Amino acid sequence: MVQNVLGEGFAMSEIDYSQKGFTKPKEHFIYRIKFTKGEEVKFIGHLDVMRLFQRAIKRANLPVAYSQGFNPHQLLSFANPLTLGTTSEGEYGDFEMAEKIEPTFIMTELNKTLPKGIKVLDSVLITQKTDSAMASIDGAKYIVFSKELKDSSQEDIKRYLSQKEILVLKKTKKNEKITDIKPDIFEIKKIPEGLSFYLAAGSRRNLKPEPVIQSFYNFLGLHFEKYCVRYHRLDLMRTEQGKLVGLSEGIGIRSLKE
Amino acid sequence: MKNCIPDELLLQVEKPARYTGNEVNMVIKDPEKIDIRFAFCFPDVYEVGMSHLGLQILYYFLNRREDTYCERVFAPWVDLEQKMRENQISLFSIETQQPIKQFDFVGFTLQYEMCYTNVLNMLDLAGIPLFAEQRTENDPLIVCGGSCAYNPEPLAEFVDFFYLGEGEVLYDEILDLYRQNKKEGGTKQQFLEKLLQFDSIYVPKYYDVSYKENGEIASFTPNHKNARKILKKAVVTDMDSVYYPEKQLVPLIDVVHDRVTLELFRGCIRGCRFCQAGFVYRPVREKKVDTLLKQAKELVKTSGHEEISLISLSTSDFTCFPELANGLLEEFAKQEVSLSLPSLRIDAFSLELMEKIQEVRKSSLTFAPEAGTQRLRNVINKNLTEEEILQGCALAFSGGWTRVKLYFMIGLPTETEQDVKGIAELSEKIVEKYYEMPKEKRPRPVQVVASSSCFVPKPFTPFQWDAQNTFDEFLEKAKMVKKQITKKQLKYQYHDVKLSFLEGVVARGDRKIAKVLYRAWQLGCKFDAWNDLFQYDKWMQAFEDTGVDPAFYANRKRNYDEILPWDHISVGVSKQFLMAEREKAAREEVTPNCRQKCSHCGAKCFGGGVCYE
Repeated sequence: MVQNVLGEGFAMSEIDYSQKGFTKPKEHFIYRIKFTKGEEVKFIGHLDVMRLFQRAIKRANLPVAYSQGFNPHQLLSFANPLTLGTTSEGEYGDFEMAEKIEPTFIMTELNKTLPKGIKVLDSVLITQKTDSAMASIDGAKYIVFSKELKDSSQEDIKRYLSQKEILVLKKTKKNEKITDIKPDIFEIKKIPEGLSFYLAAGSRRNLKPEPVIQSFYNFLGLHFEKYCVRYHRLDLMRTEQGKLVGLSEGIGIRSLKE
Repeated sequence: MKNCIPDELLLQVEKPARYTGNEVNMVIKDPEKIDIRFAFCFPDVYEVGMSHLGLQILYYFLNRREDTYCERVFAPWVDLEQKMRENQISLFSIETQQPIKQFDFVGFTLQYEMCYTNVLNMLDLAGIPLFAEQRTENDPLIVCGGSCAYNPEPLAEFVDFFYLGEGEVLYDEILDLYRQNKKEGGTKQQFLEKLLQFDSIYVPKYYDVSYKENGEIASFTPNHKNARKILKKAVVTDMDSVYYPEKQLVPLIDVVHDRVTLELFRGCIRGCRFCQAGFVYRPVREKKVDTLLKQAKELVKTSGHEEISLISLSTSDFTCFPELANGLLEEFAKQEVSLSLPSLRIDAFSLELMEKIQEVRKSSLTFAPEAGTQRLRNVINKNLTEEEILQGCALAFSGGWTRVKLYFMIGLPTETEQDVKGIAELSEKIVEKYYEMPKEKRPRPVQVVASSSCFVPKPFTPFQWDAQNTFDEFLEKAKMVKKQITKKQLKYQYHDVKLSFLEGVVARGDRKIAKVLYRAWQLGCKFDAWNDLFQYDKWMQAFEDTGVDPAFYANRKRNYDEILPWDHISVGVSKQFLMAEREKAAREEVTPNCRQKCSHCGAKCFGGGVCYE
């Protein structure tokens, strides 16, 4: 659970900070940032993105909060890692600040210094009780670019999805397992570039687009060339009262005047 | 910018972001509006090249000129190279992703002899003929610089010209000259002739070499009326006014050294007799503390780095070191920027400083005694006594450090069995020093790691005439050290003998080595410094195929009167001084450092630095 001061069940008023030996914990403000990962940076990994933001925050001179201890680090956490080579316009991170600043200020200052391909699209100060970006995710939307599927039709998709189960071979580090991915496919649509996918994502259930497209190729009797298919993530979604919304929706404010 | 390598290939190679650029502070220019295109090539992988300070300096130095676009090029890793060859993709620059064959200059920085096959491989991948005489007006000019360029001969046949010395001094004049020559419709040939006006530019084709029957050089003579008999390295005399970038390229992926690098000074006052850097970078020239603090502030601001590293050959010799260290700590403590201090002498001040910057996390401390006995340390002029080493360790142990790394060399001139065994003995004394502390002050067992590298005699050192140990001698000595060790808290490692042998051949090689390099490259040698890719057998085959005897270069003692392949180059330090130092080494006499007393090495001729303090 992400909360702005201390964990649940920890009432600040119970501690007398005027006593010796206590320092009042600093109040932190958590901002949810939505950003892109474009063509220019699609080959850098999850940890690289994290380091890139740490440095951008330093260059932008934002009042970021640091962890306590001997090796202080910026309090940043990021949502679902993206596969190397996949672009996105719906990446998220939760950034803790030591001061309450305008959410848009973070966006404009970071955008002045971020490398090409990474652009902050949204910045929200979290005021509602909500899970961390990573823990919030329930679904992800993708575009899959494929030349071979240009001629496939909505009818093909319908036939594919009407199978009783969709079995794929999932490889883990140790073994292989046949899994039914059908329940994790929310939607597949035909679009001019290829297909659009809406798949389960997050820590509970997670389905990457590649096994889906591979099994769809197999279903159509097409040869699947792993490296010739491109993926683009449109957004990461969370459930709010049974409805799926973007991760930065309905959790806080975009202006301190709100 | 569209990547030169298509996505489907990049997806199949390790770390594709090595090839796609877009780093923070990358220079972007329109190549159409540029007169001079310069490919700055680093003959190793991206992560190594991006950690090199010289690249960072020259990149911005050249790009500060409006008429020039300097772009970076790195050696593609073997996986990408294979894809490039399969798909006929030629070597490209990071910035514009364009083939470097169309550039005006292709420049290599030579930091290490064992990267020379990579230089050849990169030229070939670029579609540029390897040998200078095979190239035409349509090919770029190939230039090499860096510390290995002080013995340019092994690469002389491949390179159009060598830049000897520090890049900031002459590149502006060279590029102005190039632009003018191009404007006037001059040829490459004419440009190379014009380069002969410079003291520090070596154009190999204007020199002829002849050899004696025994393989030694008989004569080395200019064949052009303007070619100088002796070339002299270029040095910056005022380190405070010389250009230093306000920015650094900030890589998007993890590289070897990923931090702000602050260059405190160039040169070294010590004069350790085995150390090439200690002679070729003379004289010592420092920056002022104010200059450094200003540069540090600016670099942290523009990079966002979380660490500053102080770079120089011997950091503690910086005259205002405490003032600088405290100034940096004060400035950056609140900004969560840490300090890293390589090559420190261990004394009370440096330990206190490390205590401050490292808080509780105590990494291991490194000492470089280089030799096992005081006698041999005197021979190599390593002014570090056993007492100082043991005292330093005792200080460190009482400060809570429990891990010590020790660097030694085997195969140093005059080395005896006693010296070799001394490596083990000194290391064990350090272990014992730890156990002299009361038990309650010893949280865990001490760990001492002693490692020895194989001594490689280098040009421009007092040992440039010496024979390198043979393969068997090295192995025997390493075994001798190993046998001598009794304590389990002491680990001993030794470096690859084969690679050191080859390094020994190439480092003091002449023009005849070119054909060996070429043959080794043909046989598939590249990335020789990478353990898993080093193919010793192929190198041996290359020597055999070309009829070149490697022992002639590595294991032969030269006479003082022999013409050495690098005798036409002066680094300021005179040959007479090096001979005198070699004689003092034989007598086990030490030479005071530059601040204690001037030993008249010759570096005063540059008109600056410590010689005039």
